[in-house]
Amino acid sequence: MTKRRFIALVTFLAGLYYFLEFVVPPTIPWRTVRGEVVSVSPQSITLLVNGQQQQIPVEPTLKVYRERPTGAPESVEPAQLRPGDRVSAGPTTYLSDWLTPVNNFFIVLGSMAWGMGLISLAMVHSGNIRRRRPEWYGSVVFFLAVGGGIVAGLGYGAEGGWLKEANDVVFNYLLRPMSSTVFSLLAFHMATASYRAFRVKSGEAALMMTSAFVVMLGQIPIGLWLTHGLPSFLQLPVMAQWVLYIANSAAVRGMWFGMMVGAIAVGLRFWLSLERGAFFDREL
Amino acid sequence: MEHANLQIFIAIVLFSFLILWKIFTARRSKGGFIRRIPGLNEIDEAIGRATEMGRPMIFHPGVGEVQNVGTLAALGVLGHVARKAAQMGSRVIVTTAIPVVVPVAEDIVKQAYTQAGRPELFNSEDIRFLAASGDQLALATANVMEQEKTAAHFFFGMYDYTSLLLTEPGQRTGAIQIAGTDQYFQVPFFIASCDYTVIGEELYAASAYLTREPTMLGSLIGQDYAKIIVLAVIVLGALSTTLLGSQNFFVQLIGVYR
Amino acid sequence: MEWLARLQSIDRRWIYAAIWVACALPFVVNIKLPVYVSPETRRLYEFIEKCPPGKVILVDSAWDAGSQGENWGQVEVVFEHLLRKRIPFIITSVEITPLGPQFADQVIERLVREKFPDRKYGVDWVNLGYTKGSWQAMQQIAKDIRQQYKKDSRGYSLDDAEHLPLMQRVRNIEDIYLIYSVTYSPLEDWIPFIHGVYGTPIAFGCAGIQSTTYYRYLLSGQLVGMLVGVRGAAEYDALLHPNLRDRNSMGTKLIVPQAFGHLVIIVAVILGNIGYFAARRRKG
Repeated sequence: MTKRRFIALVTFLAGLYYFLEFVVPPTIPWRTVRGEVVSVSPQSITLLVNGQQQQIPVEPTLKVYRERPTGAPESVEPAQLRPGDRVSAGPTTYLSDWLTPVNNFFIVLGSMAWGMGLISLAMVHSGNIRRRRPEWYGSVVFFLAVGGGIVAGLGYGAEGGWLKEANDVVFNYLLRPMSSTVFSLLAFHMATASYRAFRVKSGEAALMMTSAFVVMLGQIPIGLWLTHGLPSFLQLPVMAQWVLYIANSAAVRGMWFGMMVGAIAVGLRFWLSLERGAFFDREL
Repeated sequence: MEHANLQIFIAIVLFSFLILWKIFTARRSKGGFIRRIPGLNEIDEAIGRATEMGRPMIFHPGVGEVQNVGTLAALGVLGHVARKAAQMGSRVIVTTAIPVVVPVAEDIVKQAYTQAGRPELFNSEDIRFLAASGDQLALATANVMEQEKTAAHFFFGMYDYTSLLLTEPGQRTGAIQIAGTDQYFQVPFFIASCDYTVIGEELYAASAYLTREPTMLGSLIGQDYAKIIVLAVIVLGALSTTLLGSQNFFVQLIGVYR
Repeated sequence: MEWLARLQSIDRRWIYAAIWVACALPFVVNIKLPVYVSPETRRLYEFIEKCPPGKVILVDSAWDAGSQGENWGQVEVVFEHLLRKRIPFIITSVEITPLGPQFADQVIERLVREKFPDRKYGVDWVNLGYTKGSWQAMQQIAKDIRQQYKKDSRGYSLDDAEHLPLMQRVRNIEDIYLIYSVTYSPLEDWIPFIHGVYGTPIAFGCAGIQSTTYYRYLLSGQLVGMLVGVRGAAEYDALLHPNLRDRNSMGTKLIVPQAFGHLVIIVAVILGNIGYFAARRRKG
């Protein structure tokens, strides 16, 4: 039980910080002054508040927000202010000041997991070699590649020398073209997948195929060439635009609203350790 | 927007309240209805088929970081798949490119096998961190499919362009494939190359659907209430803008920026 | 009917071969195709046409080899437009890839060598290089570009009036007319953190597959324009060069293999369906 409670507590505290950082205003509301900048000096800012001038001393705890024409606030340093700017200034609530260190803490924690990943890989491949599983020699190549990759990685950012050469060979001349090649495989996979899957088995399938054809042909010059004599609303590129702008945008917006509300729900369940049936209901 | 303005603050509090309220009422009443989601129904079928054939299955929890909502939902589905597989005495291989997922997935699968009384079937080598990037992971996973002759593939979570690199080779092995993603533009690829696809928000509902836990069902009902509010705001906004122009009281109340 | 039914199970290798030939052929035979100009491309072109004197355009060129097929053409045509109209521009690469600035340099070098030999670095354009930090970096650029960048990608200080005269009149977002972000999937953070706060117009250049999620921003006016995949680049080239013979950008070249590739997929799907219906009729 202790481990479960500990996980729930840590999850709650970490979530609480981010939640408060977002909803609590960055300056203490009742000590925040809103007004127009009259003058700025390194020691103080003079604001015109309700027709009266007010001096605000520049202290390390002072946070200043400038109002943009859109109505949105922009955090600025006092030195960046100019007379005429509309600002709100007040003592910080500290939460936002800790955002970078807290983020960095989680980044460091996340990087530690790379070690675990490497251990997992090493276990699988050493097992392959030990038990002489089929293609075990591939696992030997794995260890050689990891060693080579680490050495080549040392040359990152170097000005010259063999380490930089090794880095260039591994990352620029091997990894990059290989990634592009893998990416280009998509074109082939896409062709076979659509050939196999697009069968007009129902009314919906027919509708889906028609819109796919309209968009595909509308995106390329052949669509224009095939229908250029027709009235404009029957031309394939124009129809494709309609599908993309109207039908597609409506679907995307609908999905996004649902997904964002769903994300709030999943977030809440994890934050408060209410998630059942997955991780937190039983002793790990 | 770095901080919530008043309107966002009210929306967050209201939505959270609705969701939590429904979770707690559902826990007391132990009920709730959820519509049929075909892709999720087929999960048990796929596990059964793999077991009958005596072959393992692959669970791929996407390429999102562990804190990604899609990944979290996928790990919920993994819990269910692992439990079923453990009950039937079958093997699940998890492949990932995200190192943090490894210990989490290991815990989930280990727990499932232990609870089913088959701890000896759990092998930590089956939770595999195969590569550090999505495209290499896709190739490596395709290789696992060939080598292990897997009979069922589950792709749940956040996916990028690598989705098709996983499912097309998988399709060729003849395995039954079920996918679910919240990434809108990867859905067409999954539909074309998988047997069943769970779309968008259905992924977040997956653990509720599979476990029928009152907490999860309540959460879904709360989400629906929140969505009704969103819809009402959209309809009122559209109507008032159409009838009264873009600077009417309602638009100002909601506080949209330009 | 027997042979017709067989059309639904064509060996996938034939389809792979057809895609390969369709995509490779246009590189061997020189073909140019006319294109339909979609509204999102025309809006970007017209918006840049209206750039007032004294303003600059910020191009966030955050792409590399992985997506150069689509993104190269998208920056090439816009750079050509800017160089032709002598609208000064600043290149950055925020967050996504450190290789972005190098690729942008390659595109400009070629343009300057072939079409605009009198345009000069530091006067007509400046390349500031890569920066990490997504929306925090965007906000810093908006507030004070010198807080985010002390030097350009060639190592000159931004205050160096001799080498970078252009930068002497660029301080913050108020000097920027438009932000044009080109990468496989542009960061949506530009919209809430820059357009939402400062009202600065934003345009995207993105991969075709990603475009479906961005159309809603065009409808809401949060994006002023967008170049979609190879098609967007080819369309922009058509606006720059009304005469088909004058067009020689990457977009115009690559729209041809794309057109043939789409055709192969469409033909394959149609054949598959013919086979499907033939088999169904045979079964009765």
